[in-house]
Amino acid sequence: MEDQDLTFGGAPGIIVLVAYAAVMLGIGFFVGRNRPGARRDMKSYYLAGGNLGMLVLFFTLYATQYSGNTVVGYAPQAYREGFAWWQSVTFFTAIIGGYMLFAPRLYVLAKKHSFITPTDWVRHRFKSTAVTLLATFLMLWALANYLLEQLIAMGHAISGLTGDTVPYQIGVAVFVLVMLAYSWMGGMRAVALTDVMQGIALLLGVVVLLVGAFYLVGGSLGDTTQYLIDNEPEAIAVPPLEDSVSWFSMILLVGIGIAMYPHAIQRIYSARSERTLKRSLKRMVWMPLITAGVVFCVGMLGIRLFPGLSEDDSERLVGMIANRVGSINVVFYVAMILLFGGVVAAIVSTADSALLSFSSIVSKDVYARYLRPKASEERQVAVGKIVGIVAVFGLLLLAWNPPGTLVDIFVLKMELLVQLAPVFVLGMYWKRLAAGPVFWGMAAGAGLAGWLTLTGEESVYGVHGGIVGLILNLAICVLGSLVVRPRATEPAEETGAEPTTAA
Amino acid sequence: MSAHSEQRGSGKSEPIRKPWIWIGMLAIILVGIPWYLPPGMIEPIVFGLPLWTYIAVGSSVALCGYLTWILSRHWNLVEDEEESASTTPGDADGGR
Repeated sequence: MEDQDLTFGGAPGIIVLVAYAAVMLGIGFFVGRNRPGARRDMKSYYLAGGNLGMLVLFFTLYATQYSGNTVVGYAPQAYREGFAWWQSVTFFTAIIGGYMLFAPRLYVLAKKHSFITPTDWVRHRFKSTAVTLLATFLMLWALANYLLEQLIAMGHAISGLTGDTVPYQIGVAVFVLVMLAYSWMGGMRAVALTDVMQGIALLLGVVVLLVGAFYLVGGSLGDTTQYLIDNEPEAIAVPPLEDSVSWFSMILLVGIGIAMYPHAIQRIYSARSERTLKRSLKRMVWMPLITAGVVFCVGMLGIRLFPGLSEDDSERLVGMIANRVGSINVVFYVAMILLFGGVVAAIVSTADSALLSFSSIVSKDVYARYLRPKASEERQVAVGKIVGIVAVFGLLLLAWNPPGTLVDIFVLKMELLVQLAPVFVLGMYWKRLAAGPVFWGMAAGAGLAGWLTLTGEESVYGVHGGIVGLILNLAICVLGSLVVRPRATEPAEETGAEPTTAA
Repeated sequence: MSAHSEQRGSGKSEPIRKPWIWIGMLAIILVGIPWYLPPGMIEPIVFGLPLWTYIAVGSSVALCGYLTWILSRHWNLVEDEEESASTTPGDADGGR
């Protein structure tokens, strides 16, 4: 609970949190009042009418991808792994490469066929209940786990910021209610607009943290590296080969896996135009350098500021550095409080996107598809919202009372999501890809990745379980489809493989 | 390369149809990972940092530049149609 242990927290922290919460609620109220339609139909509620402009789309991509965890969790990682953690910058950049595998065509198809959820593409392409249900299950499972992780992180950040003056559970419950309220009022548009505020807060916060940490070590890069060479040479030496393999595997896993997150895919659908989407992504490409890169530097400086921390203690690194930075002078003190408010805001902005995506899949792909096919769109939206609320409170109970040995199951996210890659990438361009092999490939890949993760074999010679599963998945998809006789009545238009030029 | 020139002719392009884009991306990423250097190597030091760290950072920056270039020049499926159909260019959400 006392993860950050900030002596400067307390009342100023509470004021900052209340201010952030008020701005978020204000945005939700403003969107709900000005665009009452945003709550009634599916496309307006879940995709902001498919009309997000460049700036808002950019910030919602940014705030969704970078959570408060990127700051609080990645700096300790750099502290422990040393320079090899520079991989975090490359893997965040690689996500844009992951998007480029399928986003250009998916954008066109989504506009043409009015897709709302990622599952719409799966159904459109494979026309198979089994494939659609399995994909839906993997997406909901990963989203729920992702949401759970954000809720736990939110609790730690709030208790750290307020110096435990606000009990962990109450802090999280209040922010969850704020998040639910603005999402309820304004849907995706409110989520995206709050992302602008949340993204700016995070960005400014990490930059000030770096400036402060740099000031603390005396401002000289040369001195810091000399210290590392003398005292922690392994932090700055070429890592062993297996670590290099793991570095590459991580770039593949994150680059493809994060691009497959349902809320990431729905941001492709939400773009106003191809130009808007491209321009937003062009800015996103550079964000790893000034977010993950800055956090990496903070972690490396931490080696000099707080040498010899145990693994558990290192988890509190950002709080310790922020404490030290906050005591430099009043400007840094205020900036550090704003940083921690920004961390909470960034966690909320990631959680709200995951929740909205979760609700959309439940309302469209489960409720409207299998339970009440004739339900009006307004009712579908309402069911999605209510199920979302029930899910959040269920996850909150889990976050507060982790179910012992079961807790490992909840770590599975990217390992499962990356198994959707053949459905989106291969399915979009290879007409022969058949539903049967896709189903068995996805099931086998997810099963193998899950088994490797749960048995503690996180990697095989440095290759992550998710990638090992993906290789098996791809092999089954390709070999199976080559064996299965292609259906003669499957025009290119319907498979989605609509060539603009001959393939 | 033939697919590249073919698509330029029709004015449409998307990255996945150009294998060289992915080979280039892979090459940039692989250069940035020090798998080809002896583990434990620190020297030579250049301006206070080991040379290999400059290569890793340079690779990341190069990847950012490369992706920006791909996004600008090699992705165009419906942009021309959308922009000519749109009577109000620019983004009302404040984006340009």
